[in-house]
Amino acid sequence: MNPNRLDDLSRRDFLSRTARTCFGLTIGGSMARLFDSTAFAADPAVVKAGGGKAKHVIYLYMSGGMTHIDTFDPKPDASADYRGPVTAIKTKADGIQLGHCLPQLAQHADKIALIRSLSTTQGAHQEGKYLMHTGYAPRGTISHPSSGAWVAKLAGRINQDLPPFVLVGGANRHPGGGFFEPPFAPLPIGDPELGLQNVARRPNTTDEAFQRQLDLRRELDHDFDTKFHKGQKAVRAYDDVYDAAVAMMKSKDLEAFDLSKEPEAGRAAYGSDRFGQGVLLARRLVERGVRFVEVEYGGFDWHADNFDQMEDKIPVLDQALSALLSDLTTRGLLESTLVVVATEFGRTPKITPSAGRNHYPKAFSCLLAGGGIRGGQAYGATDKTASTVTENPVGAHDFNATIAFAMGLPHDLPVMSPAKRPFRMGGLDGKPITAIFG
Amino acid sequence: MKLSRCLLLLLPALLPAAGAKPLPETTVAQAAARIDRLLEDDLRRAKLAPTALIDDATFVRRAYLGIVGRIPSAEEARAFFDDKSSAKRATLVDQLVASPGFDSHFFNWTADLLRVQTRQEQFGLGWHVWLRKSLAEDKPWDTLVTEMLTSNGHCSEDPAVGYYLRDRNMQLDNFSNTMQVFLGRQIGCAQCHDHPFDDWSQFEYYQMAAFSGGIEYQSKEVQDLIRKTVKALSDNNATKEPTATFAPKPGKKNKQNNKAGQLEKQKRNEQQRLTRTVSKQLSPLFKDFRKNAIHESPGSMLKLPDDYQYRDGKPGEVIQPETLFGEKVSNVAPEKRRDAFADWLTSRDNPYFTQVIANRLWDRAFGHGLVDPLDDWNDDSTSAHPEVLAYLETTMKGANYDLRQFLRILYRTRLFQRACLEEEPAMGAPLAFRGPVLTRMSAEQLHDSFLVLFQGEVDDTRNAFVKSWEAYRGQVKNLLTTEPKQLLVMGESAQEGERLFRKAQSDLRAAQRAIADAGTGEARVKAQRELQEARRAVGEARRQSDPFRGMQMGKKAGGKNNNLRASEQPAPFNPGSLVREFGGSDRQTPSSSHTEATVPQALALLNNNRTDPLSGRKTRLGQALERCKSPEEKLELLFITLFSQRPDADDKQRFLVHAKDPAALRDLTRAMLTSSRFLFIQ
Repeated sequence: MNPNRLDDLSRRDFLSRTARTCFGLTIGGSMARLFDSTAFAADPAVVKAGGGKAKHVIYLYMSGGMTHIDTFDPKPDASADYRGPVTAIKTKADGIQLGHCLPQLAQHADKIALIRSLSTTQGAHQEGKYLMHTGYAPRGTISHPSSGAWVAKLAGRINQDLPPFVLVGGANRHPGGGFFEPPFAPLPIGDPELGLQNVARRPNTTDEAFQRQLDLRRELDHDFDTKFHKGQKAVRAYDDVYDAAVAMMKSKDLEAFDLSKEPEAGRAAYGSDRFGQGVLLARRLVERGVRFVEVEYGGFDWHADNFDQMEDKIPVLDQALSALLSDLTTRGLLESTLVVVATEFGRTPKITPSAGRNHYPKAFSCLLAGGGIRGGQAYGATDKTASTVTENPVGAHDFNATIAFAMGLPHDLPVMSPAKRPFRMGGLDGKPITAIFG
Repeated sequence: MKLSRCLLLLLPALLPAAGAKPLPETTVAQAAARIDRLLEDDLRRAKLAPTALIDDATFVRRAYLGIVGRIPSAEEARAFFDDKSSAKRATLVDQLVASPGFDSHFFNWTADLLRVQTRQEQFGLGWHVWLRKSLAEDKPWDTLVTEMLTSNGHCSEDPAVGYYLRDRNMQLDNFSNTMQVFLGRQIGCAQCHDHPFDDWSQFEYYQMAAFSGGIEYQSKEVQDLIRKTVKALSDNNATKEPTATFAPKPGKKNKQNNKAGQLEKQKRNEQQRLTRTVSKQLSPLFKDFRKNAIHESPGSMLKLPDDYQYRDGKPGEVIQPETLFGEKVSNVAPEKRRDAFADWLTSRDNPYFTQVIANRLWDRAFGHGLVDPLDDWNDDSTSAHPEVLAYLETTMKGANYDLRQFLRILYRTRLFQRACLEEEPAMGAPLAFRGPVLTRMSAEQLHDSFLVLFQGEVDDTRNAFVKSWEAYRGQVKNLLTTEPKQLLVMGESAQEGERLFRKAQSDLRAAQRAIADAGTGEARVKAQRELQEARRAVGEARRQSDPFRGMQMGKKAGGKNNNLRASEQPAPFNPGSLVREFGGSDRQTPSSSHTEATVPQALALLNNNRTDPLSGRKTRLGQALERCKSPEEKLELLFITLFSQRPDADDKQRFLVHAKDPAALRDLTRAMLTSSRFLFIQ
């Protein structure tokens, strides 16, 4: 399909799309609540191009800048000062190789699309993370929403009791909901093993007592709210989170947050690390209708001892990601769930004297799977040493536009900030990578 | 401006050189009044009115939370209300600023800014202890920063090296943070390419970063110890086995002539081999030791990266340090690099250093910076109150960078007594300070306020980590004096442990996969047994790989005691803990703590027993309520304790009925703790 066609469509009237919204998409919740959000049905043109199949996203974020040349874009023919001790292994997909720390993923290569041509100009962690998450470079005057918040805002909820966007193990400076109103900010889960804590009422607290407590809260805050509610988003947010918390306490789907409900075999398959358990939690949540679950895995900043750290760290990703892909397949959820592996930048292909690799935004790799993505392919390429993108460069805004495309969301629909400036899920001019679908 | 210049001359004269003594009362009062005058002049010119002055109740709560980081107890609030003195607000500020609660609360703020992690190897513990002590002693900010930037050696000797070890092997990132934290400059982007908005080129970035280009993450002590061990071994060999192992094969020619030379050469080779073997064997023993030291190497220079793409330099070219704004510093001898940089950065003439810390503290006192964001200054940074900012700079210098005294001045202003703005400030736009900004309690303020409800006034002065830190220093000393033979035995065992650890980890993963695949009951039981065995093996191998693991006090120190203030607990708090749920810092990026509302916060306040002072345990609030004789007294106690305010007629009419019945009283108390009135600081 011609990508321009999509742009034309996206410029169409916002309301006409909203009207074609969401019948059949929503389970649970009253029709009245359904229209609270501006949920989009996938555009017919997008569907024709293979997009719009995903209803959920599991977004795995490798924080610190994951080395590309040792994982998703190995260069077995490069000289040893680039390649290091890494060998490239064959995969289930013809012509696609992976670094040797990803043997299990190799068995799932028929499900994945490697994007080997990411390229940005943000070589510092905070700025890079911000760009990858929001599609915009950070500025002091605006707080941009992250891709999860965009999905929550544009796609709306499936399960009315659970938040549309959950962030597992996120670091503090996550852009989160940005300038959007509080309901689009992520529900943070610090430790997946602990899950969502404090969901049961305190012992000996009756329905009546609990309700009285809630009513008294409102009453106590009457004057405070009169004064501050209108002018302060932070104050409004507290009313929202109490409403959401009480709704969740009543939800049948709360056990989605409780990993102890998972059979032990299922838990072990994902690995015992916090990250693996977080990925498992993500699967449980999308099963219950959460739109977007991000799981952060920190500690990829290997300026020294790159190869020792790789041996410790990549197998954890390999195990969790492979378990997820096979689990989603078994459960018939892969087609409706887009799996993303993203990071802020790659690492310098030439190895440093301390056996490390430094920050390298000029060329790096991410991964997409499920959600209508055609498996067994690599999109874009780098040169012989993984130093320069040689075909199909992809920017952070393009990458986010692709997530939107997979979900059938308008990546270029302007949403106004409180200061009445337009922002888009696909950044200023992101173009979805339509070629990897179908 | 004229007046401010006068005071610039006046202040240093009034100050003792040490800076540890409080400023004289008149100086403080004059400086605070001057700030208010400048501010109110600005407002008048902009045809804006300052907000009204707040009542005693709002003030006492704001003062305790802002200055010592917790709500006042009912006794403290009452004492303030009953004080009839007209200067009682000033008196309270002075008293709180000088109290140990200030040290605790201010430490949280500084540790968040500097990203201090106590559990990151042992140096984190030492850095924490050092910083806590330095702040309590009123070490001037310029001195404190200089001590960190010029630190060197092992942390047991110079704990300020934590500042560099925090970013071990990431000196360029550390340097970017230095520029951001102390000078408010965002130059991180220029690490990889010319800065997109500012005038920073990548070359210039490297010129600045070159000042710290000599840092190596090694311990000189360990090198010395290895040398000593090698010497002891070869001396030993020399006496025991004079020639046997070194005996050369007889040559065919020049047998006699070559013998001495060959022996010499073989001896040298043997010595080198021995050094390598010993280093390798001891290396697992010292791996943590090495993680806790830096070494300044004059021969080491920063080079341009291999992918350098601009014309002003070549990839791999050595870069000479040079400053790019403020005073020009260049041609520095390698061994003086960091000293010169620290002098330049903390200089009174540095255009950013003083203003940036002054603006940060202003933000701390009033909820928003004069310049916003706090971390992204450039030549065009603007403020709605430029003269106030200029005067703050003067004041900071006059106070000799004593942050406690500087904050005291801010807390003594009329602005600190004004009602909060009803509207939140717009991001990145200069804010006219008609009043302070409404803030939510920080996670630590909340943590420490719960202590008031459960324990009473806890302003712990004791530094809970000191004991662990001193114990660690003792062990370092022991290790450095262990006999060579003993060292080698321990080294060999640790090396084997490392190998076993890797294997055990891979076995564990295999066991996890096996259990996932295991179908039948019998296979499952077997797989489970293997998984357990694999877990045990991992633990055992880890212990063997690191016989000095016991030295990692930071990972265990403190922490067990929930009755300590947040500043005395291991940092960062664990994900999922109450402090982290409420946005407590993860100590990963400068000032990463936040106060955004989340669902887990609401759930914690609604349902967690640790946030319920009437949960059945004997708590300070529970006991005080039991002592109350009437519902009226109970209601008053609750309102004073949680809101620092006596209930007014309206409150009594609405809520007195709930104080008459124990169950309703409990619900009211819980409701008060979930209210925004409790959580926000007006």
